[in-house]
Amino acid sequence: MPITELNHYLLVAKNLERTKRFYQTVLGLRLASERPDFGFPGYWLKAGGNICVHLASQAPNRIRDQFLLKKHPKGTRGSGSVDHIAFLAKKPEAVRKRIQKHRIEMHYRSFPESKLFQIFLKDPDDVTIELNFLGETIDPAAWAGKGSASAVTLSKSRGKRTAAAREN
Amino acid sequence: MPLERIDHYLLQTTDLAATRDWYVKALGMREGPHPDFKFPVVWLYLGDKDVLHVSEGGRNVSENRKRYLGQESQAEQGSGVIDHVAFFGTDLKAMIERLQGMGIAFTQRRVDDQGLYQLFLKDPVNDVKVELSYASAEAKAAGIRPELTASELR
Repeated sequence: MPITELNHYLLVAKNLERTKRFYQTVLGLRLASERPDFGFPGYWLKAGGNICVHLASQAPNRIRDQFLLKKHPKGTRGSGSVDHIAFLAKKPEAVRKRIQKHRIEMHYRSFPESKLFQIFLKDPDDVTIELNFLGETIDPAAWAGKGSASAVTLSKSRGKRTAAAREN
Repeated sequence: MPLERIDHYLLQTTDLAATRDWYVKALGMREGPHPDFKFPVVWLYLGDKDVLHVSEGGRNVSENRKRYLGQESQAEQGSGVIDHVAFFGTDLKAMIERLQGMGIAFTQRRVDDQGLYQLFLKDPVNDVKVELSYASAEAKAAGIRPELTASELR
């Protein structure tokens, strides 16, 4: 079965630090140290050893807006501040073909250094879905034209913080 | 660890059937059993686990649905259609004491035919609704009672 489990949701928080404290102190989630440098500030939070909440900030950030599929204006509240819901998945080629068959636009995100490949897509109510293929190092350029609306590779530039995303 | 895992998310939609069909066809989920909430729901599964709950949204939401869940938003598009995200945990009593100790408001629901006991609260910074689900046996053992049980709705 290509899409295997629910993994996390991403919340674009009005106040990143206060939101982190809420999830830590009220819900008892633990801060994960292994969050890659996405080029925008945020936190990963774990329950029972698994990452289940990804926090980002509403503070304007170009890389965040480029990476996610929409802009996040300051002042968003309620479930509108949930950006996307993420699943774990396997067999990227089969999943891509299935989605493409239904003529649904996809956005590819690749993290070669973390061996992570992602497909972003929208459901019929315009909710963003993220599919995570762990251990996969697909070059999004190789999939150009195969249902791809945008393809971004994030890689570290000479050991410094991620400066910008490279669009294929 | 009190919270063990993310459990499911709930989408509210103006077209229950189309949403179900999309998740089944595009993402390969499977429609499966759900409790009788006395309002329309579809539960979608990956393997043996329900991961996506879909209910009615927009402006014409039933009174039972509003009574049981409330309605966060009448949005019909985008992430505003996500009503809540749920976690599964253990040690219900400790969580209730923690929330009460911190002065955080929550509501309690019981779903008998699933053996679930649910707490609903708001992330106060962003106003996002979070559900915490526990085995209802924990509530029974500790003598904890909900304000509302799913079977009370008609």
